Amino acid sequence: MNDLQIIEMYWKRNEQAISVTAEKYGTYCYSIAYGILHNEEDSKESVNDTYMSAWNSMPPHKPNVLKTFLGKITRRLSIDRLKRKNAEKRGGEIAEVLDELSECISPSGDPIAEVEKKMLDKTINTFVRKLKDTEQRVFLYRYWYAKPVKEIAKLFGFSESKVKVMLMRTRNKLKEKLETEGLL
Amino acid sequence: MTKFDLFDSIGNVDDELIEKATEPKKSSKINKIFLLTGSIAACAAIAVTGVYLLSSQHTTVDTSIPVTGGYTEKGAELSSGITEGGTYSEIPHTEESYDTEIEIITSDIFYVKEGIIEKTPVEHEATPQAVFELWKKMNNIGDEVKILSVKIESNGITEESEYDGQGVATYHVGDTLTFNLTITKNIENYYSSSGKFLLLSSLEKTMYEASEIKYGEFNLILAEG
Repeated sequence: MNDLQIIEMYWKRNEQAISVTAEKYGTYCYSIAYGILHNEEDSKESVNDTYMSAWNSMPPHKPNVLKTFLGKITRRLSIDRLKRKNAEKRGGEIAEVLDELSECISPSGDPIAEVEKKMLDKTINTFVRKLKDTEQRVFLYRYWYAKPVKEIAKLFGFSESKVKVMLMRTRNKLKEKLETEGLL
Repeated sequence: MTKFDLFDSIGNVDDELIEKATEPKKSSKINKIFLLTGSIAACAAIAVTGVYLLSSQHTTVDTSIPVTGGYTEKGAELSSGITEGGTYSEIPHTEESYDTEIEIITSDIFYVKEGIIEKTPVEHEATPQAVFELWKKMNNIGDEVKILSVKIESNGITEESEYDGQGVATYHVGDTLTFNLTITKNIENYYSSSGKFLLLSSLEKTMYEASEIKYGEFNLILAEG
């Protein structure tokens, strides 16, 4: 079943939409959740919450790409769950990912205000869009999907060292960009 | 802004970018070429068909181009020679390219502190530029001091011969390598604070430690930048 047909089911309030979504994108959403939460039970709950959130948001939403729409929901829900449970201390890849990103911000950063959040979203989007193709893909695999460096290296046929250098350089560029935009 | 805020914002990038990231891509040929602090094109005899090369007691190899190679470590006492003046060539600027793989290594960076040379291990890219920048930072030397060139000389010889009616040049690797580092003359502005001998010794030690090739001689050349 294609995405348009699935979205149509949501709009017609056909509850089969959820089971079809689970069949088509369940594994994808679970891999995102697990990359962040590093816990089977929490990840399953996060994925279930994703289906509920999708049900509640379509309508009015009609996403162009259902897969990434769901992926974003899962990612957001997972990080919220992580913050609530302080699961960062559990370890796993997300702790390292967050530590790497902390290099791009001021050490004593406070949570961002809503207005600044919109500006940050826009800045990040522009920044990522302007990256060269491979840099962009590696960056997103690491900081969107929270994939381990080892897995990224294997995927691209690079050494882990090369991936680390690439990420380090991109983070440095990101930090400069945030400073230029006055977000740090 | 917290790291969670940043992670969250990354999550809001456009859908097409996320989709594109996971699209299968043809893997490009990866050239596992390492930029070493001193590289020579061959550690064994090279036969070049149809090319005549001039024989020379000393062969200068431009290390600004990436080359492959492997070397056996040769224990040798360090000997320094510092010359002033001389010609130099600029290290060609290259765009950042991830097709050339740069290794990350850990080596000691030597610095002068209160009249003695100390050292600290630092992780860095295995390039002379990266090592030099770290050395400058540890010794409080400004950006105006720059590397102008890095060259390795060998006392290898090239022999000409003929094979099947065609000219063949064979290069025989020598047994002594000399590391020639040319930097800008304005390093002299920093002699008074650290002492000329200590400062330049720390540079020599730093470059030697970082180099995969254990050369026998080190020449520091100061030239106008």
